[in-house]
Amino acid sequence: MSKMSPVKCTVITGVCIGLCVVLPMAFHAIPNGGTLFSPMHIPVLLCGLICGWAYGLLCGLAGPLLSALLTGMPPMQYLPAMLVELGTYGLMCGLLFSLVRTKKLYTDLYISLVVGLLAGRIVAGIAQALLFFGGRYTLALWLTSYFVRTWPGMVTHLILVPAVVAALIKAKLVPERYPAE
Amino acid sequence: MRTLPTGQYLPGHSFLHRLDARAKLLCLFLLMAAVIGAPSLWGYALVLAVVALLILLSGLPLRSAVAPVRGVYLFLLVIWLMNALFFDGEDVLFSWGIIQLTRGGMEQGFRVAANVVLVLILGNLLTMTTLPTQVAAALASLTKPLARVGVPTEEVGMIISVAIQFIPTLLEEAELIKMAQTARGARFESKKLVERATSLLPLVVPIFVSAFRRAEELALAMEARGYRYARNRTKRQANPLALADYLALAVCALICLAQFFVRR
Amino acid sequence: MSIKVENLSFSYLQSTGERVEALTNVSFSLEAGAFVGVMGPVGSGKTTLIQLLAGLRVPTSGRIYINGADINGRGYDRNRLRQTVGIVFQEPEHQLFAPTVEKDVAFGLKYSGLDPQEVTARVRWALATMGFDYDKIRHQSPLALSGGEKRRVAIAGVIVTKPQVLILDEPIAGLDPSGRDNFLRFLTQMNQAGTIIILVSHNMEALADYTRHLLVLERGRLVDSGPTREVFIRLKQRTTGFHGETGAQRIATRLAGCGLAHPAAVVTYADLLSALKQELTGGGRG
Repeated sequence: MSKMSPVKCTVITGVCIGLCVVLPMAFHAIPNGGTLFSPMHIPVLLCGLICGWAYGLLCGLAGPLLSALLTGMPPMQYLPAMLVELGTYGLMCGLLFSLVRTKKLYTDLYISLVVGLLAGRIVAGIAQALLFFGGRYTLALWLTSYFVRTWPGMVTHLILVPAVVAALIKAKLVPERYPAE
Repeated sequence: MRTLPTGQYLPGHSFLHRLDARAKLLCLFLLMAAVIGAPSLWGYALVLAVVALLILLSGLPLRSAVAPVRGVYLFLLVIWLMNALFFDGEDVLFSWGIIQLTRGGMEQGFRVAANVVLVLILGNLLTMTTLPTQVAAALASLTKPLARVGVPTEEVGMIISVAIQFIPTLLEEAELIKMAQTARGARFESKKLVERATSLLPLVVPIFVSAFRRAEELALAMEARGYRYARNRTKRQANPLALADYLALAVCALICLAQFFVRR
Repeated sequence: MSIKVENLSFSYLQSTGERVEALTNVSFSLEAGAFVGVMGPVGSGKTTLIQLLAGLRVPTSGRIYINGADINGRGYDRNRLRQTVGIVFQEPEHQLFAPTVEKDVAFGLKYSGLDPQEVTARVRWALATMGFDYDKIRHQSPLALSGGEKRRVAIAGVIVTKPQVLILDEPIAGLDPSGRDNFLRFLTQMNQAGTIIILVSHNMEALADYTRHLLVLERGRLVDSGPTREVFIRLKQRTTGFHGETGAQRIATRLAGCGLAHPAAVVTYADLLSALKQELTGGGRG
């Protein structure tokens, strides 16, 4: 995560966008696989963390768009809010991860993820409320319901994403963040 | 089994099938704008007529053309109720706590539901008459002018083409990984949230490790061939739009404009 | 322990709308103690066949009976099948995920109901069997190992449940020659202890030296089966289609051109050696 060549970032972002299409198809058969834990979020979060905010943003926009075009998931009515949500995730996680450096990999990861995930939900909640509903009450109501509905997904992502980052570092596919002297 | 998903595409030779994908995308945006900007009942009548005409022109069976709408009844009902009950309107018909049924809210609900239905059908018509690869190429070609304002569209194009290229391989690997772990006795149906999340690790970790392994191999091969930003790639000459494409665009633009004149 | 396969077919729909027949009307049966090789060209349906045997795909038609029970029948206990049939896939990275080798190998025992001490003992046994020093390797990350080590850890993660049927898809591809021989000898030991071994491989020597029976697949059909030696001899006489041949068979053919050895009877290097001995000491045709 210290130094990734631009070519590697290009290809990794491409593969992450590909995974945005593939994961929902692959997890379709697993009970609650698609709806509860939103598999499409994981490659976007990882792409932001590993390649930086610009690539993360692109992945968050292109991933759901390509998936909707190729597989019909997410359905078109959810697409705009999803673009906003995933775009924010990729952008915020990438931005925070490059700014927060506590010398501890996991602390950096959790801070970036928690803030990124909250920001994405707030922005998407507002976008959805504006798109589908008018009025003051609905905004607050919609935001609350949005958080309640997506809470399990958030826990799942906080467990899965750091584990994947650690595995990628172990497999030497991603450089160490704080190489031992 | 390495094939790209063809999505919703239904092969055919209708007028809509034959239109250029770029023209179809632009028309989709224009018509979506016309739907969302529809000012009155007459505006909706106009776009509804257009959508009906498009379904006829697509040669698709009515059932499949409106299929996505059938899946969202509940969604539409929720949208309508939320708007009807929580809208800040003047003409309150009934109120109880924060809930108040207003005429304005009911209208707003109908409007949003109608928007969703029409946009769904329009989007569906595009994906059913256009191959995903054509849509992707059209998107790439339409975003090209963004390069002038500093967006690295060449690199974005490269990223998208890598994504599309990799989908069949990634899909196959995900299937194999699922089988390998199922064979080792992996189970994914726990009631407890944390346990269920952890039970996904045997799938998620290998999927990303093998995907990143493939990315690494491709990146090395590209670097070895001296690839930097695809700046020097020979550009494919895109086919010019045909007369029918321009006509379709003009009609859609007119419909979009017409929404401003039916305002009163 | 017995496996019986009846008229097994598997086809799938391609996104182009084409139906692809991966496997057509395959029937065979395996008795306890079988050590069987599966061979055939790339795309002949070998992998599909073993995935069906492990219950990972559902056949389009036909049945698979393990110990007389239809594994795709209603009410069949899938979780018991997972403990009975172990399968090692081609790519070790498809199954390694845990932070340490010990945890990864133990994953297969998660639902076995064994107590922690037994689990540790099993993991220790599986890793030792695959040639690892348990205390040295247990805390390492499986993903940081070399290619050959990853493959051995992956195999350890499957044999840890002591399956009664062990299926392996090209398991020796990433191993060095000594690792390969050790591994094949280990398979023989497991087999002697009663495990049915099903080995998919393109390595003709390994198949000729270690398996007792062969199944030959070609374009999804079972084109030959029987005792290993007979199948190799028949394959050599085939004029069309798949043509598996061991190194010893190839040399014997060349030697026959010089008037030495009877190529028809030679399958393994041991055969070749004894044929040559006989020829040179003046026995045989004399």
